[in-house]
Amino acid sequence: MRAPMFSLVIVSFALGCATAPAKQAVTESIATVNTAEQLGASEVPQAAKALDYAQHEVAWAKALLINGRHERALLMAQRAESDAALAIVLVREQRARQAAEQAKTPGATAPNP
Amino acid sequence: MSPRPLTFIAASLALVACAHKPPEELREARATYQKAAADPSTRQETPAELDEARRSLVRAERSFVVEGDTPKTRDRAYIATRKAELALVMGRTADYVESARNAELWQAREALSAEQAENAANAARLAEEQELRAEAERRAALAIAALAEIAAVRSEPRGTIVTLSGSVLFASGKSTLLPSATSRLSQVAEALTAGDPGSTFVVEGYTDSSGSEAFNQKLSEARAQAVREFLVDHGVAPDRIEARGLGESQPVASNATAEGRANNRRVEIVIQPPPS
Repeated sequence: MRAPMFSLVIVSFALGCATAPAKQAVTESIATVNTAEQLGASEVPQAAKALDYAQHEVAWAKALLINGRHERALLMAQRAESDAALAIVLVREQRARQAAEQAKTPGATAPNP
Repeated sequence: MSPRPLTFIAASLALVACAHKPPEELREARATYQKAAADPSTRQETPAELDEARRSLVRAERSFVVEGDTPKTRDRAYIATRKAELALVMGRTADYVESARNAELWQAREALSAEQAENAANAARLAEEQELRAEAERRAALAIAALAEIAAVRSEPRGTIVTLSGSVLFASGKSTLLPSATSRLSQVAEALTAGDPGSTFVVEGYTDSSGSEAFNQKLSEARAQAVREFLVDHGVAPDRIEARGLGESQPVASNATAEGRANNRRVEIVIQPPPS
């Protein structure tokens, strides 16, 4: 009787360990997606594409989490995070490019990127 | 050996080769990382992001070695690709920011140069104006010195006053210049034209109190006009000189004595300096 109980504790602990990082990763990826949206990623073509991928990957990660596939959920959340982060830097790149072009125009005032 | 075992071996080798062929995601991750690592801006501006991309790629490679072409390996390769892309984009962004900063600095330098050139031009213009002004003042001083030899000259707030005696210029009660007056007036005209080109003149006629006031007024106006016309005929620009008669209104001496009346019969030329 003692051995099955011990096994159950070990399995529960292992499941808990696997769940927490995945949930944390999903939460973080959602925050990064929100940041990308707020920065206007949907208005910059390349960034919009990366944002779209990130949004789908977040949904996918949530589904994997619900189905108990925590390790894959963690990776999917990391994919979402990397796509959302890319969307953010693409927005910044677009703004910096516009600022550089404006600054090259005589008489123009370049906005901060 | 029959052909069947050979076929089997060939098929087995093909399967092994396929099993070890890296997935498309991993190949893309390698290529993207290599591109980022070879990019000078990325290496210089985003070393931390580039290192993160490298570590992601190592994780994907390790996953491929350990697990083979699995979804997890593909996920890790995908993440590695995105990390390398992120480093590349951040490198380009840094270039744009630097470019904008350089353009702004260049424009600021251009504006400064233009301002300095304008200041230099203004200073040169000012110096030239001051030189012209000094020259005009020198000429005016010479002209007044010349006038002082042929007439009474005094300074008043409204300008330099040159007083010519009426008896020298006109016969009694007349406004026609005496022949003897022309020599002196010619000298006056010469001095006025040689003086400051920016100054203007007013010829004022005065009489004594003998006769009616109306007659004296008309006589003073006619005499002032006669002097003005003479000066214009002798080179003074007409738009620089005007004439006005003031009759007996402003005597400089008593009209009770002959000497006083002689002093009151006069023509004054007011030399007004140009407005500063």
